[in-house]
Amino acid sequence: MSSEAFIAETVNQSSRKILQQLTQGLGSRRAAALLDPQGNLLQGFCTDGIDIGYFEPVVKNMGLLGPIKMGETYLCNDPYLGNTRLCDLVFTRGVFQKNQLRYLISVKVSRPQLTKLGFGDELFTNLDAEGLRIPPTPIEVDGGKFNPDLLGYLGQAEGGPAELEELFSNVRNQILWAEKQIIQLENQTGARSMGKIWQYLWKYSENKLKKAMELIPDGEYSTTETLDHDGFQDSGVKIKCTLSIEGHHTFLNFTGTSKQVKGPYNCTETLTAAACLWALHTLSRETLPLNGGLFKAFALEAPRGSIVNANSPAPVFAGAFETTKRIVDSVQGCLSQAIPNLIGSPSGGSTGLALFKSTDGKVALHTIACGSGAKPYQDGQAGFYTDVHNSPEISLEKWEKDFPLRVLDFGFRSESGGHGLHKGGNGLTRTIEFLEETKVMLLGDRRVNKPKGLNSGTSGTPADVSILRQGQLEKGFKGKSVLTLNKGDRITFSSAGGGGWGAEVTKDPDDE
Amino acid sequence: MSQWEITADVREIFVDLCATRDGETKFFRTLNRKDVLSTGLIEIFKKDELLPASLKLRTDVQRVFTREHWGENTALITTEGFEDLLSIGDSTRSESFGSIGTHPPSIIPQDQVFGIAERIDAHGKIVRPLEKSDFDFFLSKLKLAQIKTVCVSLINAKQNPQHEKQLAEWLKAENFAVFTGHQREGSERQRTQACTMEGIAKEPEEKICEELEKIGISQENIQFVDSWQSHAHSGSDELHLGCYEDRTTLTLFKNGDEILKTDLSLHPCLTLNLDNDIKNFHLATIGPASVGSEPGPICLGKGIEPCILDALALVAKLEPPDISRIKFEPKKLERTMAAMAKRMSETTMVLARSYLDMYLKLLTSEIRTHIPLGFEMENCHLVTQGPLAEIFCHPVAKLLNITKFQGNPWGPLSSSESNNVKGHLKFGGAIEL
Repeated sequence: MSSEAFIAETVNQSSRKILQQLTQGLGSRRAAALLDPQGNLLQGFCTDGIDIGYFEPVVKNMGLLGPIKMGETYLCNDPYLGNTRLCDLVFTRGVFQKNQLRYLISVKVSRPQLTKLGFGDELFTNLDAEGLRIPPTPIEVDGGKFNPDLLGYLGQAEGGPAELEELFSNVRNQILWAEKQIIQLENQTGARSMGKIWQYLWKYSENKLKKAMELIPDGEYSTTETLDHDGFQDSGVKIKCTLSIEGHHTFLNFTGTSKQVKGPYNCTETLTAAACLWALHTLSRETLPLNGGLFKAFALEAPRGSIVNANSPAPVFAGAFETTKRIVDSVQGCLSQAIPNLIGSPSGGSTGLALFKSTDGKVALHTIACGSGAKPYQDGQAGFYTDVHNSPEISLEKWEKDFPLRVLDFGFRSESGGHGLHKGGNGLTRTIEFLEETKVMLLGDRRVNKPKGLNSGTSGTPADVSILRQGQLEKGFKGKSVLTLNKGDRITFSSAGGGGWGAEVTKDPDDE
Repeated sequence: MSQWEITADVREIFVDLCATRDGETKFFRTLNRKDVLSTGLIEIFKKDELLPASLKLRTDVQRVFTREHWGENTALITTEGFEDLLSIGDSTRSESFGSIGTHPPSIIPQDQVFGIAERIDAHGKIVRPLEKSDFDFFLSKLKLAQIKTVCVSLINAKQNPQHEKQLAEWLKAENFAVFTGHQREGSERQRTQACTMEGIAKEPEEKICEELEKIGISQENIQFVDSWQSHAHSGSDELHLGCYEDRTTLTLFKNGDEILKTDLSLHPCLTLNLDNDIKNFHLATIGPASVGSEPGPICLGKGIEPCILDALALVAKLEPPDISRIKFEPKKLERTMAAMAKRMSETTMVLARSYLDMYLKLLTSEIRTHIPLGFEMENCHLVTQGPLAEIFCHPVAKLLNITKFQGNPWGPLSSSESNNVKGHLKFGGAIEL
């Protein structure tokens, strides 16, 4: 038993490091996975927790193609085949030893430029407007050359086939490097032992998460969170979550949630599952091995056709960025009813998502960190990507180099965190000036509904968008829509502060 | 008789020192005091009556800064609107599945960060010129705050350093020590971070010089170095592993040129943990670090939680070091490890070996992830250096399939392989996997 405890951690940490290194240089939103030949997730690495959900379904859907072939790399980006959104390309390749398929390695590359073709004058209302849809497809043709049809197809939105060929080549080289490392790890551990160790880690993760959930008393807890709106209907979009606990059985049920919406705020079931996992994982004191065992620790009911399990071809672009945050809040809302003294207040709860498109077709993705919610034992932190998002702030200089804009300021948004025994973290603020006419698709949430405070803590200040257009200042812009801003116009994104926790202790002047 | 030439490595726990004179070489080691960087160093000089002619000094400024909160006499000037850039950092948490993030400690107090009106665009064009009148306004603030060192890091200065250079010129004319960002690589945040680190290092370096001057070492004879040079280029690719008690460093050389230098996350002051709160499924983990704080390492008389160095002390038979201030506690170590081993139904030695085995496998796995394409690891030369060099050399070479290797404890300090070391932690030899 003791040797397994040591080998398991060696395999866990080493494989995680290999995946982490595999994603180096492939963008800031990094994610990769190691799966067994049946598509079960053995190890995952992701900067955004939301990415842990889709590798298994994407790879299992590769089965539609027939057996995975040696030397072939496959590409898929279809959210309705397990992925998150069309601009996330998932590449998968088999690891073979003695002609036997041993593992599958998957890696994600995020390319916002793919949204270029359908980026018009209104929000995306259909998946096909969000980019080019690619079912599982081999990227190579005979002789290892890249598929010219695929390059041509994707090249419509990207910088042309040559740029894509470089991307494909980088991805393939990185996967080949990881393949070598995994084989080395297996040789070091022994092929037979490896199978047992993966099972051991699966069970460990599942049991450990179940153990962490023992904190929740048996019962049923329900909460409803609201997305401001979807850009088309005026009313809020409801996400209702009911958490049922009975012994070791944890069941999350989203029955009662709003139906899928016209705007791009829908989620697929894989996204919903990942958001639920993240929320439940907060009960664990340490990060557990990221594998499929974690998803076995709870059951999920996400009604078909609802915003948490939409039907194709409902648009999903903002679902992964914004709706998933409401899903996390809804699960944590249930937890705060069950164990109020252990659960922190909601964070600023939005990535301030926006897309910019210049007249020559360049596309840039905007996100901004917010304040984290106060915890029962400490203040929230200012300016962090919270819950399921954790990708780093991009370099402002790189942004200016790649897109005709100038960042005029970037700093903390003072006094935006909620008050209480522990204060919510402050949000951030950033002003951008456009150097050419630019279409701006505003998708960020939390501009209407405030991040709640818990246990008598006060709410955080909601997010805000202000626009300076031809010298006229429009404050408190609530819309989710596409605006055309001219050269010299400015936009200020202010992210929400986190909710406060506990009643504020006020000093009695007589005590002085 | 000529004077000693001394090379010293001043770290958080120990000071390692190599003195040479007329072909004679001596090695020293002592504990460093937590609050004063130069204490251990001066202690050796006084105790052993060394009168150095020259001193080459390497210190770990970043860590020491965090410990000692230097920087009160350092200011940062950046582009107006970006004063919070360093404090915001990259806005990420250390774990994607962790809910708590912590910004790194502010290198420079926020009230000593000044934004100046100027702007250069992404192509290097001046969008808003720098005004001397704005600078004069800052000057009074800098003087009022008794600032001595100023770091200047502006947006897009890499594209056009004109404004940074102009500010540096004005500041130097007012007798400030100046560090600029455009000479550094990376994003605006990385450049700012690097030049401010360089700026705050100025203060401790001056303090060390002042202290050393008191015992007769003149400032001109002291040289501060970032890292040690490779001393044994063999023509083939080289992998240098710095094996210290509190850190592990990796340096790669290709054709004699340094191509990578990094600190590895695995080092011997990581704590040993055992998670056995779920039935049948245990996990043995190592970390977080226990360096410079209670608990651990037990073998050096600190705390109750063992760390990798403790496992090493058991397996490689650590002998009491010749340093009076080290409280060496082998019995306490045995007791603690035995209690842990009992929880796992193992013997103490099996437990210690298992942790070491895991540590070395994870260490070599981490090394592999740093190896760039084109670096021939199988044919490279492995050089382990530092106090634990001899112990780790053979097992690391074995795990990395490297056939040419050499463990030279004092490699960074001298090419000599003498074992005449005062205060050296003595291990019984290389460990076998």
